[in-house]
Amino acid sequence: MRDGMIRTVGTILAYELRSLGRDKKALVFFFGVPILLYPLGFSLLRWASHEANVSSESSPLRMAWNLYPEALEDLFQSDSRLSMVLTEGPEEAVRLKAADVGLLSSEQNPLHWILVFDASDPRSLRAHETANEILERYKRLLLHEHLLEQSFPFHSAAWFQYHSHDVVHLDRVGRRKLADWMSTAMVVMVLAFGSFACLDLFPAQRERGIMETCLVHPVPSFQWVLSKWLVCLLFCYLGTGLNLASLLLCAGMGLLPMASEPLWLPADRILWIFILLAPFCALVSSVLVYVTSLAKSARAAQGFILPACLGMLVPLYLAWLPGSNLDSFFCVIPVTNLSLVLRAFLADQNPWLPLLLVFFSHGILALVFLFVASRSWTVERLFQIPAEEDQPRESKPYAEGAFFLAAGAILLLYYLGSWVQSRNITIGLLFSFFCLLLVPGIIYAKRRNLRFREDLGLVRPGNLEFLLSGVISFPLAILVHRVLCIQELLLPMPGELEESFKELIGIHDQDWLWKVLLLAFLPALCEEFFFRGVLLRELKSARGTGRALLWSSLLFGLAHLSVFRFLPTTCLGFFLGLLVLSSRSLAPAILCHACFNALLIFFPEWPLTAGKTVSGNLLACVAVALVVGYVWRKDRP
Amino acid sequence: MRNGFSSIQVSSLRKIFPGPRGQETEAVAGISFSCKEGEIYGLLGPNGAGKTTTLRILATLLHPTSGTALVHGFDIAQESIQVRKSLAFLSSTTGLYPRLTAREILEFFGRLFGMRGSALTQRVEEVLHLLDMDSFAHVPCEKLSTGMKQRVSIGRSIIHDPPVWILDEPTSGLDVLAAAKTRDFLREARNRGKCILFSTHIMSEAESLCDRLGILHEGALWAQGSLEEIKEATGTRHLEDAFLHLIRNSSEGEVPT
Repeated sequence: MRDGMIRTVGTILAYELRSLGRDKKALVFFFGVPILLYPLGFSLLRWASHEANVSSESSPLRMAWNLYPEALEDLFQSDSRLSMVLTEGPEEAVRLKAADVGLLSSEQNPLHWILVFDASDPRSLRAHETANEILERYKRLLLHEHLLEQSFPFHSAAWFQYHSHDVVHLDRVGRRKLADWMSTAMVVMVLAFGSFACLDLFPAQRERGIMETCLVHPVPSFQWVLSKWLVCLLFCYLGTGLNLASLLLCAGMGLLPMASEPLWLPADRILWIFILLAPFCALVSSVLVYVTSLAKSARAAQGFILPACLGMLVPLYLAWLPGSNLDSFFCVIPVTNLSLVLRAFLADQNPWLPLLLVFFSHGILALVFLFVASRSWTVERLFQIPAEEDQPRESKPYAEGAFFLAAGAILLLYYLGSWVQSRNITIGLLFSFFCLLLVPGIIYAKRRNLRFREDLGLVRPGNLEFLLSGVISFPLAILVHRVLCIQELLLPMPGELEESFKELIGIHDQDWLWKVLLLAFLPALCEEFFFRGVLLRELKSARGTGRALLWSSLLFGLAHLSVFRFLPTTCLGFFLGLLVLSSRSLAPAILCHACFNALLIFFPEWPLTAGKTVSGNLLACVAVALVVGYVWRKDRP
Repeated sequence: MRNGFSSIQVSSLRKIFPGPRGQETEAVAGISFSCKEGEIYGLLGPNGAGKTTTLRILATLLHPTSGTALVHGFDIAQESIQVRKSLAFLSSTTGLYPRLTAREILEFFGRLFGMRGSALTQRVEEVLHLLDMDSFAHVPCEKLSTGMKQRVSIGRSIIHDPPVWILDEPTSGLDVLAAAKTRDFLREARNRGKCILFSTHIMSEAESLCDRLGILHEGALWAQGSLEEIKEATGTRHLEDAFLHLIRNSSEGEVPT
């Protein structure tokens, strides 16, 4: 009996994998991206980040790397655990560092930090001062022997906390960042491969009638579900494994933007990365098998997959929070514990108990989803399509609901969100975006029977309009800045508010990836879903397009909780609303919003410089009008 | 094989689909019929008559609300795996893996029926030859024409050489030549002693192929018997007239026989 089952499952696995592997898109995913896209893309990014570092302010960690000798003298004299090596040129610095890292990892010098720097490198005075300040903080930290969470911005606090009790050497900085990168890349890749495989294995097969063909054969439903889960698991594992191998190779070649020099990981650490990949693939596969097997069509499945993937990203963000360590709380949360264990392994620690918990928590959850999927995936369910699901569900216009939702969210943002942000800016932002905008928006949409694709616009836009939406963020930034300038004439912004805003968008000591995620991508996704997805749709059906656009923009402006930011954000909201209405998709607005925020973070002075001339403003107006006009006309008959 | 005969026996089969807001749709309204080995039984009816639902119930894809059916002596509700092993099921909605070749499809589904090794290879070659598929055996299904795909589907369904064949509109979408070939193939199978139950709404096909017929409308069987018996009962010369006569009677509220 068991032999028969293993043989059947093996047969299905072999033929399903063969079928899936012949898909051209799968081949591109498997080989094209890791072989071509990563090396090229990272080379480009590295070149761009190098340019940015030379022209603008470098990250504090990078500055610490390039310290002047004078800045360290006092520090090293006061702390015998620190020492430094002076070199005469960059080549010697690299060579010495490599040698010293080997020395430091020995047990003879357990608490020894050597900074290797290039004395011949001429750096600005400002960079010198910032680096000195960081080392002063570190010195204070060692003296007090405890963390002062509030006095440090996120990344430096986490970094110091992480390294203060252990052997510290500069190679670890790169590894820590590599671990963060790896866990993010791993999650994104597994989700992408899993979604790809499951869409092909369930809804696509159902639409093509393959599922019906399969089910007339003498194989129980559970064996089908188990086989397809294994297909998805293997597909995820192999695809992600290839991609991760390519990423590791890029790190070894020094192409990754988070490491300033080639970072070869030891073989055993690489092995651990691939071992840790397995439980995560198992969990993601089972969740995706469950959600896609419920869908009646590929379109419906896409609507299920997106919330499921977003849901699985939440624990990843949790691992990035300051103070998230492998303690008893984080150890049992799937995905979070995986990210933390990966980080620990890359820092040469061997957390065996948390590793077991990773396998245990992922395994249990995967089994639960698999069991539920096999129970609900019956032959009867596949053909019993209730008439109501064939009919588009219409919900009655209900503008009051939208206003209540917006008012509730704004009040909570004002009282609760601001309070949490004042305690800890990173947690506060995550809390505000996820818990006060995204989750209430999803709950409201579910309660009102709004469809994610048709009503909320979670659909794929045209390639050109998507691209244009990203490009248009530049002229849009000029225009919004111009509105701010006009407002300044009537209502000047207080200096301290301006400072705090600048501090927020340039959160110290954080690397650019975190900035992009926290301040550009996340707000774009959550705010667009809430204001342009849920609110705009609800108001449009109740009050008409024009009024809905106006109201959603005003509510968007109000949600920024500042009279000084109200007018520019309202204008931004109006334009983004136009993009959504014209493209009938949220994606262009999300991209435009994310690019707009990223521009303000990385090049805050650019709109000011570009908007100084009349021609710059005129060009911006024309560009915005042209894009809106193009997108608007494109969908109109 | 059990009970010493190969056939389909359906008694008082009923299927009700639940609808929105408590409404129910009766797709099959207590039908009874039987089909013996070496016989072709045709279920004739307009679209939405309940033909596909009946065949899906017999293929164990749907559970009946009430009533029973035996396929090759096995109960469809209690012994679904045995039933599936005994029958070939083909419908217009059963699809094929687009990226697998015809040969791979036959091998894959043959393995699912427990066939292995030289027996499987031999049977695959036999089916390829029988359905004249040798020329495109190595071509992925997505590149085949409708007629070729239909041949692959038929091959897939009969790979394990079952005694009972259930075919839902097997000539739907085929050109005249391919449809004629399929009909010839079914006649040959009947001559080899297979029990064939098939549905169609093409009168000429039913007339030329079926030994016995059942006319299904709105889930109920309005008439059944040989072609001559049906014509005689309705007092018509052609099957089409008999069919129309029965359908009209049904809309006037007469009770099915």
